[in-house]
Amino acid sequence: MKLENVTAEVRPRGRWESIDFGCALVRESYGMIVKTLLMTIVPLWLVLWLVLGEISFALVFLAYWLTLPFVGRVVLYVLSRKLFGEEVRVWEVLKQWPKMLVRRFFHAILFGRFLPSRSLALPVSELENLKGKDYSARVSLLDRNGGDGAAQTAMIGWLLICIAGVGLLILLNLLMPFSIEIISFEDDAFWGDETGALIGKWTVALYAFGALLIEPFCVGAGFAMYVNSRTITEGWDIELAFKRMSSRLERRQSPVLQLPKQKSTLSDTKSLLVPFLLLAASFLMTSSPMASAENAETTERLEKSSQQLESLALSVDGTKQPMTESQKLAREVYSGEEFQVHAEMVKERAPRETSSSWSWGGFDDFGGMAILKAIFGVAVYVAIGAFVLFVVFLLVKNNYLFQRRTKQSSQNLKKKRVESVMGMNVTSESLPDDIVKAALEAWSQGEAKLALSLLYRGAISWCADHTSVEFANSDTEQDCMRKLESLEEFHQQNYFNELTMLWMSLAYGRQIPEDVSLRQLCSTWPFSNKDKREEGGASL
Amino acid sequence: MARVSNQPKIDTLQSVELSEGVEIQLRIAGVFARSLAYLLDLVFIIIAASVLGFIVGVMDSFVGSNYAMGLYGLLMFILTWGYFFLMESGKKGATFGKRIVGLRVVNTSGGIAQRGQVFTRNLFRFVELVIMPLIGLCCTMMTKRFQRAGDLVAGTVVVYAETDVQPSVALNSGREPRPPGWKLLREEQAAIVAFRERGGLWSGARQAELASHAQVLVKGESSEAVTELVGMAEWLTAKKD
Repeated sequence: MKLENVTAEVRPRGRWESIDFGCALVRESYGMIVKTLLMTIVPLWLVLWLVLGEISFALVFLAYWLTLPFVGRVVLYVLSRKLFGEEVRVWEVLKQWPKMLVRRFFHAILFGRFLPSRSLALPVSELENLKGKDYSARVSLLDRNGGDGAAQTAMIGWLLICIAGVGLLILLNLLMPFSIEIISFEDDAFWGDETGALIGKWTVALYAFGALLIEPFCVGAGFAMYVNSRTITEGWDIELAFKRMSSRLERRQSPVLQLPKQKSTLSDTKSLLVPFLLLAASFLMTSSPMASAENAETTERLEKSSQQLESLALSVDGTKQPMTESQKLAREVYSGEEFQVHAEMVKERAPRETSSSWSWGGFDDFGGMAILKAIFGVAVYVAIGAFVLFVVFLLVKNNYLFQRRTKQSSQNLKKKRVESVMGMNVTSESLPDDIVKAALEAWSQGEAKLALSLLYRGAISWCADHTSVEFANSDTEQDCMRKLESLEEFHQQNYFNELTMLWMSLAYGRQIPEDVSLRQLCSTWPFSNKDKREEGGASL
Repeated sequence: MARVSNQPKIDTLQSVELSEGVEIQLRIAGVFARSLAYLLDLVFIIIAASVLGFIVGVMDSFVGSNYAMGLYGLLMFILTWGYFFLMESGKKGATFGKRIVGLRVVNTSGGIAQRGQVFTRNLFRFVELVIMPLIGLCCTMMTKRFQRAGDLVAGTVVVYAETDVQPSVALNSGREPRPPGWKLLREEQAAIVAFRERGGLWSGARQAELASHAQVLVKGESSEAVTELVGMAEWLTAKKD
């Protein structure tokens, strides 16, 4: 691990910024983290699911919760190496995995789990390998510089895990066809014996998903706070900068700014050559007096090796001539960072085009686009034609909709007339023409129930025919009464109510109505079909 | 070395180039700070809703329950939809929760977010947090500037409103300014100056250890090296004609 190769900007940060820094670290290597987690913790969790799931899913949940620090170990392994420019391979992590799992197992699942600032403490045990007193001293020191931040991260992380789990559930429900519901609380089967197990399974699965998604970020945040704390208390960033500076300057070997105090490996005359050295190798070689003997030879070779200084130096070695001071210096200078060919891919968003250039005219600039444009034009017409045909097809196929409207009168469009109420046939065919007469006949023969039922059925039948009320087969007498009450055009409400009361007390209470009241009902019978028909005819 | 130094380093600061080549850096806020701010906002909304409920409940007996319920519905609509929009398009560009955490909403070039932008990003809030929370969450965590979908559409970012000053104790050796003797990169000069600015936080041994990493520049050992470095920092920060 080379500290100089750090791939991120290390500097003292505030609490939130260091957390964000951790998130940025995780984000940059998230693919790798997910891969390693899939190879390590997911198989472990599957085994736990299969084994402990037999007993109880609460146990599985507990096991997942307790083994979360192992997720942290894997993530930290990847992150810490990534920070210092090492690319981790999956099999490396896989090789380390048994060790990560076994090493200080109880420390991980107990102390590493229940400490509020555990994400901050994780690097101490993992990267510094501290134990016992050293460990707790270190952790308490770090706690002072970001302990509350780590605790907050843990709290928000827990919330984010919940949101991620619930979010997954919502997303799955959204993506499913409408007919399938993953968990249907209205489903009777859901509230059966297996309810507890089902809820348990879903909770554990969603928790596992949320934890795999969010926990790396919590660990990353903790790691970043750890780095930040050490940066503040130990000046890590300055150490890195000094190391980088030293390695840069050592490669230069010569100060560009000549100062008397600085010791130099070169004499004054040769140091004057430095600017020339920086210009080009071939000129340097020819202008250097000491190398003049080999001028022609080297120039040739230079051309051959496409003027690469490295090969030139090799060829000088090959002639077994001692390298001159200037050649050595040239080699050193040319091996410096400034003379390496750096390739840098810069991705730039193309300038946003104005809306006018999106018009089809824009295609004219390209040669082959004319054909494409023609094809597209045809396709558009075909599509429009197909659409029109489709609409026509729909119209023809569903023409009954229009036929009905035009041919049939509005009365026939009315909802299907009710045929029976409370099991009584109320069709007009089943009733005698003169209901009052038939009822009085039945009454005089002592069949009170028949008489009243005739009247009641007649009333219902009339209402179904002549008012806008819609009775259903399942309606009770009370329902019919209420439905009629809500009608404004129904003026025979009092009569109907009285009839209903008499009918109900006979049917359910076996109370035979008095002679007077029945005869009164018959004499004031308002539901005469004849009158109504005449009225209807008149109005037409 | 060359490979590493040419890669852009991972950082939370995002450079924005303004017109005339001016480059500024936005201090982008991440998902944890923003979640906390949102949580606080939710608490405020709940408190406000219950206060409104109480007031309307008192009014109920004066104006009748139909009017009271209508008023309550209207007020709740304004509260839930208007809170974020009105607060964020205000002068501070932040809701109460964001203010407490120290955040504000700006557009991607660091300027004040337009009213339309704020409206758009808050319209998406409903989609992201209520309908598809997973999408909003992943979007915020995975995008480079920690933008949720609403931010991406509206072209806004959430940044820290104020710089927080880090604890630092400067070293003061009283040594005369001393040129470093090498032509140093900006980053290296900054490191030397930072060594003086923050050196007081570290133990003498640690200071010496750090100074030993700069052995190319300094000749002396341990404490001498430290004072030499401090002298260079003096020289670098001193006004030159």
